[in-house]
Amino acid sequence: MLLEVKDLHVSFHTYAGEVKAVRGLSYTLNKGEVLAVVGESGCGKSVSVQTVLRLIPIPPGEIKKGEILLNGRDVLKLSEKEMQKVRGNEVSMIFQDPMTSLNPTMTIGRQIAEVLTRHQGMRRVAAMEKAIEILTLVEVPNARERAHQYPHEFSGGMRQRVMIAMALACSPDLLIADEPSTALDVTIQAQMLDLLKGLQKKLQTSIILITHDLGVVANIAQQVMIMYAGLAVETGDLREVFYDARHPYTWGLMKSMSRLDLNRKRRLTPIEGVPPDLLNPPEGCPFADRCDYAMRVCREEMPELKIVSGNHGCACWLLHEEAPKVSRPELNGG
Amino acid sequence: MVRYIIKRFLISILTVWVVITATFFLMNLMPGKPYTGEKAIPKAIQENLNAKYGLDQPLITRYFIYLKNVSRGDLGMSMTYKNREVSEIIRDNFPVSADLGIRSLIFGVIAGLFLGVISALKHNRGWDSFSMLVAIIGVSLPSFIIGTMLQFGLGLKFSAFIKDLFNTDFQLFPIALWESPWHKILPSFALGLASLALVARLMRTSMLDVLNQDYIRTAKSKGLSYRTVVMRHTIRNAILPVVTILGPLSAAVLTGTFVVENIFAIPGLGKHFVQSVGMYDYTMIMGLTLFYASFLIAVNFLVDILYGIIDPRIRLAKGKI
Ligand SMILES: Nc1ncnc2c1ncn2[C@@H]1O[C@H](COP(=O)(O)OP(=O)(O)OP(=O)(O)O)[C@@H](O)[C@H]1O
Ligand SMILES: [Mg+2]
Repeated sequence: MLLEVKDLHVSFHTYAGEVKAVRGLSYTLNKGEVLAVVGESGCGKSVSVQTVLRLIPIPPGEIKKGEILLNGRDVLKLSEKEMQKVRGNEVSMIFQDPMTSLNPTMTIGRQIAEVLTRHQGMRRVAAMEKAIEILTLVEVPNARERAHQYPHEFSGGMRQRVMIAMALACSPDLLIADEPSTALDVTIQAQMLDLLKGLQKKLQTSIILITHDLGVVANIAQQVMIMYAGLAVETGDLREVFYDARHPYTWGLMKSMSRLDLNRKRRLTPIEGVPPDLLNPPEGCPFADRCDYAMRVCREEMPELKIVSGNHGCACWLLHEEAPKVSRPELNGG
Repeated sequence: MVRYIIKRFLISILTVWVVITATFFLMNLMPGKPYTGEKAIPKAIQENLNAKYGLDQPLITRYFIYLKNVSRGDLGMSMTYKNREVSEIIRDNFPVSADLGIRSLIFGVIAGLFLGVISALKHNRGWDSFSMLVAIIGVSLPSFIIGTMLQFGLGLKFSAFIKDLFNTDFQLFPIALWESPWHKILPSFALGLASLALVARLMRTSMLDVLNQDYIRTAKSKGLSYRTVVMRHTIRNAILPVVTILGPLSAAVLTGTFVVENIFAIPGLGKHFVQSVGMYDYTMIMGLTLFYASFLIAVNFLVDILYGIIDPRIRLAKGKI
């Protein structure tokens, strides 16, 4: 087991009150596997993964509770110095917007070499050579020349390749990619994911991939976690979640995806309604207000994550033995 | 980059010419003429003087003669100091002003950067409040008030106190004049405080802005130490706006020397500049204006090049012009 997150609670203290961004999240990730995290905007995906590297700003952020075991060590108990040895070395991260994620006044090569000098004690010249090597690996053409250029001389797709190169420089155990392709053109998105997939095969790095796009998930992930309002509502192997989804929210997401293929313009409103306000999350299931199958108990009490089969877990009252039997609606209905 | 420099250079020359022309004609619009002071000068003598300085010629002719002289580096004779060339006066007095100005600027910029950085890193804590208090004092109190307060507090009272205590005549903060290095402390401080305040505030804002940028988060996610994130990634980017204002700032400091020189009785060039206007000393007005203008234009020119060196984006964009 590479990563084991147990009952993680993260809040932000704002003027309006406490935003409970992550409210008891648990998941695991095995070595060499890809975990896709899917969910609507604002459901706490970025916050939950940034907590693994302790990158959320504290204050206003606060990690209220939980454990994050990385190779058996709880990263939440590490000192800042020890944490720095984890970042970029054992676990590294790629962010959503490659246009703003690189330092504009430093050459690409140096930004990559910096990780190597920091974690592997390399000399600058050697680190630069290695940086060029890695740039070649992520398919940046003319890497030797490009290494001496600045970020503004790179396109978005090329910058994201640089980010990937930087993240992989020290061969981390885990790569966290937070919507790595969302900010890019559709054509480049596909290239980027192919690249990630290829690298993952080659280097056997575990990946946590955050995405809005279930098509991407099917293509690359072995494990899936569906998040909603700071919680995991359904988790499991790709096949289990895709072919045997149990949560109405997952159904909704899938329905919106099949619609998306028909008509790209409708991707913005996949499920009717909006997620609950994390300032005052509801007592019961956060999805109840938008759920076609909501019962009274749904509004009163939060369902536990129940094992459906194997790795497959789902937090929904419909799985309770006393609940009415509801079957998944036809996918191509919508 | 080379094309950019050449272009900037030509623009600078053009600017100098505009300054000369504007000053020349504006100056001649001033009511009054040279030698029309309190004492009436006999008409014959006045005509003689006019002829000597070429003032009997029509304005346009004088303008072209002046341009011709300036292009040969000849600023002419002063009309108030007999037999002294304007360039000679500049040569004698400017080094003192420059000394004062540069000291103040260096003090202001370095201390300002320091305060700005500290205050951004210790955001909303004691240090931050202290730095911003200094900055607000510096921005709101003009140099003549600060100068006078320093003279009174440190120059007078503190010296008297030291004298009582150690029974020595040595003055750590002399009240006026420009002799030993000790004499330079108070005026440089008085003149530099405004720049300090400006730089500190600008640097603080800029640091806070950069600290919120995505690439700082990237730098942290690489596992770099706090020190490296601040020194290598934050300050270098945050300093850019400060570099941009170095030009205007040197202008402000340089023109500010007049006031401080006056208070501390420093034999700089400022006195001459102010006097020349009251005395209708045409050649002196022209010469000093031209001198200051060229100096400031040169500073701005250097700052632009410096900026290009620090910020690769500018280098490329402007190189394409
Ligand atoms: N620095 C912060 N201060 C206050 N609230 C924050 C902060 N960062 C995140 N939040 C809140 O935490 C919640 C979860 O945010 P998060 O960025 O994790 O969402 P997300 O699932 O990544 O969404 P997206 O798909 O848009 O990236 C949001 O309600 C957000 O407002
Ligand atoms: Mg996000």
